[in-house]
Amino acid sequence: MLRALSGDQPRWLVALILSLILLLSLTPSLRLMVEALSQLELGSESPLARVLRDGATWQAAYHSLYTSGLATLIALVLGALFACALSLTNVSGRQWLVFCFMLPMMIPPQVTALSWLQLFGPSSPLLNSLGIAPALGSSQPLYSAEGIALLMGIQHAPLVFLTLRSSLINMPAELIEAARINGASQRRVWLDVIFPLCRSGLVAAAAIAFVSALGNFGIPAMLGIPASYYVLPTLIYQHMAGFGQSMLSDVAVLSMLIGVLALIGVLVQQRFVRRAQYELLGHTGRAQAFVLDSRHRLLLQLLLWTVLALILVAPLIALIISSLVPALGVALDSDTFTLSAYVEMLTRQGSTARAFGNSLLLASGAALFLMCLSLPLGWMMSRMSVRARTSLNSLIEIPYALPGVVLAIACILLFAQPLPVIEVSLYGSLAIIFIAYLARFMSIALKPVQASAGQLDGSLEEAAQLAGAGPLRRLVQIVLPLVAPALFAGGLLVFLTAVNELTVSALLWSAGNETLGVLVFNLDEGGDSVLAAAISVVIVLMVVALMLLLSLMGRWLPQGVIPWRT
Amino acid sequence: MANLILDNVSKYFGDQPAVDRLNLAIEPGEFVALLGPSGCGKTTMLRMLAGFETITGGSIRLGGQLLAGEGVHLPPEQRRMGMVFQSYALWPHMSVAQNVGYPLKMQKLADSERKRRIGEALEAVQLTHLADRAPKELSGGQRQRVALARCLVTEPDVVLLDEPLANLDRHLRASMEEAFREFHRRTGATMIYVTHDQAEAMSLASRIAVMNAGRLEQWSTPQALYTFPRSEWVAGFIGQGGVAPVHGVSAGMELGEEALLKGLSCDVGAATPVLIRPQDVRVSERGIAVDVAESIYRGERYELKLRLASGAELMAYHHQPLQAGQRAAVQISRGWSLESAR
Ligand SMILES: Nc1ncnc2c1ncn2[C@@H]1O[C@H](COP(=O)(O)OP(=O)(O)OP(=O)(O)O)[C@@H](O)[C@H]1O
Ligand SMILES: [Mg+2]
Repeated sequence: MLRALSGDQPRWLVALILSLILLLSLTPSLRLMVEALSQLELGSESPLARVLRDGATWQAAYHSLYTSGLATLIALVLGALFACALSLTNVSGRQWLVFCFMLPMMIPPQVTALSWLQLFGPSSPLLNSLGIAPALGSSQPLYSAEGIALLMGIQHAPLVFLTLRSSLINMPAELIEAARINGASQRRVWLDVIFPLCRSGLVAAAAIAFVSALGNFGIPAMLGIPASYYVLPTLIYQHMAGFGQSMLSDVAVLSMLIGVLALIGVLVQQRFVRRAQYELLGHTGRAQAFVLDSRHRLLLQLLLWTVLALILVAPLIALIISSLVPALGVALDSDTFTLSAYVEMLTRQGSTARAFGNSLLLASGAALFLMCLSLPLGWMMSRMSVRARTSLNSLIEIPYALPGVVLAIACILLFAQPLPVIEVSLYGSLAIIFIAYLARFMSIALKPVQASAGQLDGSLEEAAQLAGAGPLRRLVQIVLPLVAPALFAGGLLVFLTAVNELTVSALLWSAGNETLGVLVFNLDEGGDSVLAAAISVVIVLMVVALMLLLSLMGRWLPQGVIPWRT
Repeated sequence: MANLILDNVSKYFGDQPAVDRLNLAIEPGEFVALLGPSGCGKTTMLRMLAGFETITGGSIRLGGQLLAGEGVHLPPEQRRMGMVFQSYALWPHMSVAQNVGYPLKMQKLADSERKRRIGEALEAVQLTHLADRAPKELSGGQRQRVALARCLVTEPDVVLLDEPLANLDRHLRASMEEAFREFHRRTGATMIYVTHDQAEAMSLASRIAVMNAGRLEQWSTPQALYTFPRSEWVAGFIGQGGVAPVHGVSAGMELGEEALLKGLSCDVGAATPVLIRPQDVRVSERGIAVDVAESIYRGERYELKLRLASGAELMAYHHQPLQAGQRAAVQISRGWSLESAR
């Protein structure tokens, strides 16, 4: 039956979709590799040798490893605390805890960096308002490797949380109870049962946090560049600012270097995720192994909310206060309170409005396009053999798993010359960002549709087929209504991610084509932090609103589509 | 060895009682089954004994020591109990020997002593040759035996078993039942065995506590449970048979042929439900008139459903089929009068 159905899909549609995926997923990486490995015949003068000889490369690589390693540790501590507390104990208010803990992942990194910058240093409006700001001239502690690591750790902790939680939730409570009744104290249970059983999950979580930190551009750009502390992505950004003959080949080599590091991380992660699932196979999971009495429960809740207050609420308050003062360094009181930054943002024509327009256009365009693509693609894939589906999924995953800089550089290389035949140049237009977004976010849009289409009973379609409906009619009249919530959720997730995107657009933007992410970054670099803060407040509000909207849709969606839903 | 006393034990989830004022006095070394339909609170009761759940009211004592109640809650690791889980609960990251040796490690036994005891326990369940295997390389029955050995190794006073055979096929069940009996003989531990399978409870336990909706319905030996069920509910739950209203008798009486004949045909005074087992009903020429409602072939004999004049249904066995709708007569040699259903 399945074979009959898959044979019945129109060939032109299958061919169109497959070639589109190949074009979007594979060509950029291939083009990058070709460039990075070009002119090898020049020997020690080839781009590869030249970049590898350069001390700055190795220093940036070391910085990348150091900050990402430290960030991974921080993310592990935070993520493990929340994953254990929320999946093994009976704390209450889980939904809000999860929502708030996931928020840092959805807030764009440059906004995170900006809000933390408002929290520390001599010109912090918050500290000034409280009268505890350090003396003028003292340094901003966040402009350091450790500052970068701290913020990246907080931003990527939700990834650790999600990975670890899935292995904890699947851990059968009986295994813990069996240890208790055999004489193990609570402490021994952690040591002897829980830790060994979620070790693979921990490794997988560490790997994904590390890869994400490696590719993070916004935070090291905002915190590192002022202190001349370069990591690989910011080094590429730095190189791009210079011109010169060999610049593109050099950044291609650097990109490949990050790409290889990230790939290793991704492979480690996939291996251990699979092992974590395998180890607990055959057991039925049940959460809540530790039922705390009311006093301990309150203490734990207090701890969790205190952590959230420190990593989320405090910087956001600092950000809001910064957006309400006339200039940095001014304390907020009834005299200095002003909404001028917001007024300026709304009324000033030019870059602000344009950036909002561009980002909304790009994000909604990418969301719509990917929704249209995901519907037939998810439908096709649910009818494929497991092997074909797995390979196609890995292909689609490439541009998403690789750091954004890598994709951006690859797109520059791909579109630096005018397109063949039609002789149109995409470089320096919004179109290049749009194409990069399509490649990068395809996986986000597709996953919910796949989950939903996978749950559909094949007989629904077979019944329609017997009634005489052709494949396209079935797709629109049977499949579409059933997967619509997932399709829409995927679109919203793409919109949410794309509208704040910085890494790709930071390298691909050109005058007149700024995005919202680039705008915040440029304003802060140009010293206009108050306006940047006001825009960031709006961005955070938008993120929260979209996340709440997705939460509300949650009950029509298969499990796992919305990460922060418990 | 110590006796286990449950005094008015209750457990509420919210305002829903899962266990309602349960009283049991269990002798040392007894093999007790907790029997009841799904959702009646058996698992909850067992988990309160183990210390995984706090109790809402009452108390639990083991050999005079207060385990739970009156503001005390001894954690599971201090109760000297063992437990066999339905899912076996073997730790997948430890070998068979490590699984079995874990409780001894918790007791901080010396290495050599530990090795000896692990060896003994594995021998008792005939798994010595599999000591270094991982649990996932074992069959279901072998896993359950490892779980038994892990329980055996510390010689606990009380062993709790929650439907330990529910995951096994019929053939394996029989051999595992034998393993439990052997375990009981060997250790002399008090065993509390939760099940919803009455055949299992009857064949293993020396006394059975029948539970319904959180309450104790009856607490007696398997034989007494079958022959002298207290209430109409227990009679319907245990074994087969029919219940007929009989006039002029009171609850808790054994009735002979005469009394039944008289009581069934008369209709003055209050009626009491009487349990009539199929082996006590004999189709004959004369006797009580019945309609044949159904006749089902069961291999060794036919099972008859007979309807009395009062509308009550009886069950009987017969060597040949009868036509549905046909009239017949039966003689009933024994009945047992019950308390009406609440
Ligand atoms: N943690 C809990 N929270 C709320 N209600 C519970 C909880 N655990 C059990 N219950 C309820 O208590 C009642 C008794 O449950 P229990 O698991 O003890 O039944 P059981 O007799 O073991 O049933 P089964 O034979 O199906 O295993 C049920 O109605 C159940 O829904
Ligand atoms: Mg149960």
